[in-house]
Amino acid sequence: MIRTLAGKHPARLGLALLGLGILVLVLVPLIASSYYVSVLGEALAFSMFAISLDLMWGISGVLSFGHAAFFGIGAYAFGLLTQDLSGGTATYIAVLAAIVVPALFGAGLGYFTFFSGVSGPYFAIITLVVALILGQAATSFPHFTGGLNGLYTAGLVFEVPGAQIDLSDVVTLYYVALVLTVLILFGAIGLVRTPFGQGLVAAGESETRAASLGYNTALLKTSMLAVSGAIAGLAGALYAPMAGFINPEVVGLTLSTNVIIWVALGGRGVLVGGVIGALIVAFLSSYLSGNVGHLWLLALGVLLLLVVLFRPSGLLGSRAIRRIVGSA
Amino acid sequence: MADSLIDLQYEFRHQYVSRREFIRRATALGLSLSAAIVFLESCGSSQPTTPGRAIKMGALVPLTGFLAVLGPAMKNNAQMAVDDVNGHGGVIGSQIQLLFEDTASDPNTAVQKAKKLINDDKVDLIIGTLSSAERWAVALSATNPAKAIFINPTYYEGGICNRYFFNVGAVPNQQIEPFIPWLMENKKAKTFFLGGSDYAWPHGSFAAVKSAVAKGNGQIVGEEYSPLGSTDFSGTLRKMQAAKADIVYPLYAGGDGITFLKQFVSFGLHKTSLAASTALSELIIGALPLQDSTGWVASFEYFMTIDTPENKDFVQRYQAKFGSDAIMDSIGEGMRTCVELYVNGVQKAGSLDKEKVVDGMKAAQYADPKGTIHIDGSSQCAYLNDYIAVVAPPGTAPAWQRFQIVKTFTDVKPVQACLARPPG
Amino acid sequence: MQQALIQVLNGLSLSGILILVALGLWFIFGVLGVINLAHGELFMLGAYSVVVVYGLTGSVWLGMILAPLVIGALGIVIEVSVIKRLYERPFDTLLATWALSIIAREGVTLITGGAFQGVPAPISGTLDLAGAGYPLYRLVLLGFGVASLVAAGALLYRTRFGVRARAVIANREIAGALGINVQLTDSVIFGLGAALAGLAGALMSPLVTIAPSMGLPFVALSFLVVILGGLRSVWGLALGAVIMGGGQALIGFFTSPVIAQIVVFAIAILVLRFRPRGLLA
Repeated sequence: MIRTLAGKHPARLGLALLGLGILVLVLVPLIASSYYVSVLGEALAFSMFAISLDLMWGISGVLSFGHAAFFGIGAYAFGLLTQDLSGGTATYIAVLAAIVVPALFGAGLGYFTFFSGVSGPYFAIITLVVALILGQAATSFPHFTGGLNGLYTAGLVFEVPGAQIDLSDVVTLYYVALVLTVLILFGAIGLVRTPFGQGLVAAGESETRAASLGYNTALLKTSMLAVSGAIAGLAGALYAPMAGFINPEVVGLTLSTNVIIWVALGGRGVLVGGVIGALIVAFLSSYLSGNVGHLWLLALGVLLLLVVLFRPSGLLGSRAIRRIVGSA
Repeated sequence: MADSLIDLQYEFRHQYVSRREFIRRATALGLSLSAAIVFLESCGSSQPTTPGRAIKMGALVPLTGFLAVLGPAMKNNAQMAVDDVNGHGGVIGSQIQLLFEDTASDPNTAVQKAKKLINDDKVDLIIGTLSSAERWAVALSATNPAKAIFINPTYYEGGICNRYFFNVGAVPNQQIEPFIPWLMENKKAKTFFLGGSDYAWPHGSFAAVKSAVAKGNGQIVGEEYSPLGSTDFSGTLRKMQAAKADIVYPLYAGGDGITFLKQFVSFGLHKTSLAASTALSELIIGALPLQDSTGWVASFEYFMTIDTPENKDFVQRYQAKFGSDAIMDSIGEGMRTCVELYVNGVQKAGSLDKEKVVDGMKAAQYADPKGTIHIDGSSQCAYLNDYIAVVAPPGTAPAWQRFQIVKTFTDVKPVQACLARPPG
Repeated sequence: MQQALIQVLNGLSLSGILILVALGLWFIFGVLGVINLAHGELFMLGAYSVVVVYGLTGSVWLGMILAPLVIGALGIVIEVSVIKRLYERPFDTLLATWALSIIAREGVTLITGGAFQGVPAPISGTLDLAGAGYPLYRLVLLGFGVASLVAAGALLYRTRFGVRARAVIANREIAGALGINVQLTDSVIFGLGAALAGLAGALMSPLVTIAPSMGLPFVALSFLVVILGGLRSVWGLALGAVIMGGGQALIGFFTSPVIAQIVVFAIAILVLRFRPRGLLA
């Protein structure tokens, strides 16, 4: 047991390992070329996205098969509001919109579904269809969204007191992503440990039991969906200047299913599992392409199947780690 | 049954990690992290600056994804052109090194690979991209900001203007403007129905078609766009049937084009309307049953059946190298034109200095299987011939030989308006 | 008038195709409670079976007969090796079948090199409808759709196997206690569902471009058809298919294919929300 190794403080061990991982990530741009820094930066944005999914899935027991809808709405909101502007307050408003709009969407979707008792696989299918609709809409209203050509985000600047953060510099974006991801990770863990979070953990384990204890599970789940949407939207807004270019792929089915794979492989219910899954898988996916890419995807499919059959909690989803996070 | 689905219960397996297991995992993590660090450090090369050094040429082609059917011809042509140059001692004493990257038919991937080629591999130029979505994304997000030379091989709707961007594919005034009047006169066509995929290339191209049709006092009786990846065109086909157009002009991307044409034939529409477009190439016709495409008309800047000694020799060498059933279309052959343009530019400049090479390319003039190439200084596009070909009835010859060239417009000057964003 | 007739036929043939694809899903979802995200790939493999058989023998019909048999067998293998272990974990069947679909898609891409394939229609020619032609083959597909519905209904309500299957649907435990071999029934049903998907793919193969990703659009559509119609009876399925197919054709008549698709999806979501057990529940 981890407990025996860690002595009386398993959380401290977990924290130490996490600190080590963060340190490594901090050092990467000093030794890697800009291409790899940009790929890793995008992977960090995806990790934030994975955290948002795990809050719904691993913590609250609700699988969303179209979660990229929130990511994409955030990315598009950011892209649209910064289209013809390159700095100043526009970027602030854009980031704010990227957080608020998906949150509202999540609240609306939650109200539409959870309050009518729709959950489980029916919820998953509804979110799947929502992702399909949004992907289609993003492609087919090009005057609004740029269609398949997408929106471009070159030359953006973010102003903070006393400095200007150049959003087209790869290394700057990388560190912004790292800081934000770490903050979101700790914030999410903290959230899980609050009564709100614990109520959701209970609802995730058994809805009827939680309801019988007096929890308004529909309200809890809807609120968490809004939070999850906000985080995913922020991740999307972060991704936009990194890719330099936003197209319907960011709302579509591919990204929605990829994030599920990251969390499934990295570990459900522990929040950091999604981070690991996203970092490793997203990085390797960019690195390998062409026919090797297909082989890699095949291997990923096989790996996913094996994980689901024989280790459904994923790499880091063990009970011990879930205890540290507060989801078990 | 459905009840148990709604009332879901998770069962997490409870795993305990033994001390030995933990040490094993920590070691593995540590080792992989170290390996990753070493690996990342070794990536990223620097460019030596002495003359006579190898030229690095990045090539973006779709090897996977829905455009993959067109990828191999692009790759082969680039390879063959580079092998030809290197076989003659390279250019100004430098050999060319080709680096292929797969765009996966996806603009996001194309941009990532372009950035990798520019920042990591430090290439001297990039050639390629197929779809307009990829092309615009790479130009606006990667090559323009980095001031990297980017040469496009394929016909497209036009609009990218940048000192470092060159285009050797046909733009609408070269491919569409001569085509429409020819159709109206020789095929007695007055009414046109336009059907395409819903993105930049069909939208931009149809704008040119509409203006040409209006100039000839013809009539557009329908214009419909379908989502990419559509599998059923019955609604559009019904409208085409009702409109009874003389010409049906399909511009569907990749596999959708083949699907549409199959269904077009299944409705018997090919008996009442003529299919004519700037997308019916050797690679598309080859995928359909032989007799269905008889009589169809296409307009491109290159066909394998161009009847000059240079082209015949080229096709022969291509098939000797890649197989007697290897075929290409104008997109594939365009990659050769890209390689030759750069080589020519370097020769004129007498050095590998980027600015000098760009000026050299603007003044380039050289022979290519599709004709003599020279560049229009203001648009940085190539003067091209436009070939109009009709698909002959099937015989014993392979499918690509059925394209009978019936009209050639020589040395058409490219005209394009510059756009800041792609047309929607 | 003629245009309206043709559009009606378009709607019906679309529905016929949807019925074929969704019927297999209905069996698997309705009887086993499994959300089979690999259904589109079973469809795709059915189409590829025809390509292979056509390549070897030159006969498309033979391919269409063999495809359901081959894919049905594959379905049984999948059920025994993967699905059986996951009945207690519905989310995980979602993931596992999604993993299988990735494996199928990438495997086929690697084997075929991703090139597009095509097969000719076994029946070409058109039906003359007052001057406009309508492909005969689509009408044949419509016929197949209806026939398979009727056959499914007959299977469930007129055979002993059908009685057993309905018992398992109603209550697995008690069915088992009554001596019904639930394991066997599960495998047979999954195999049947897979065979139907393979048949649908085989029948569709002359109409569309055959590529590894051809199954994806059909997965979402067929789920919606099944959910719209509800799990009570196969006639619900027919209703769902007519609504989805007919709806798409009708809306496409007045607007464009793109808007039609969005609207139809939106309608499906509304139905899912307000009548999750289906329209006929």
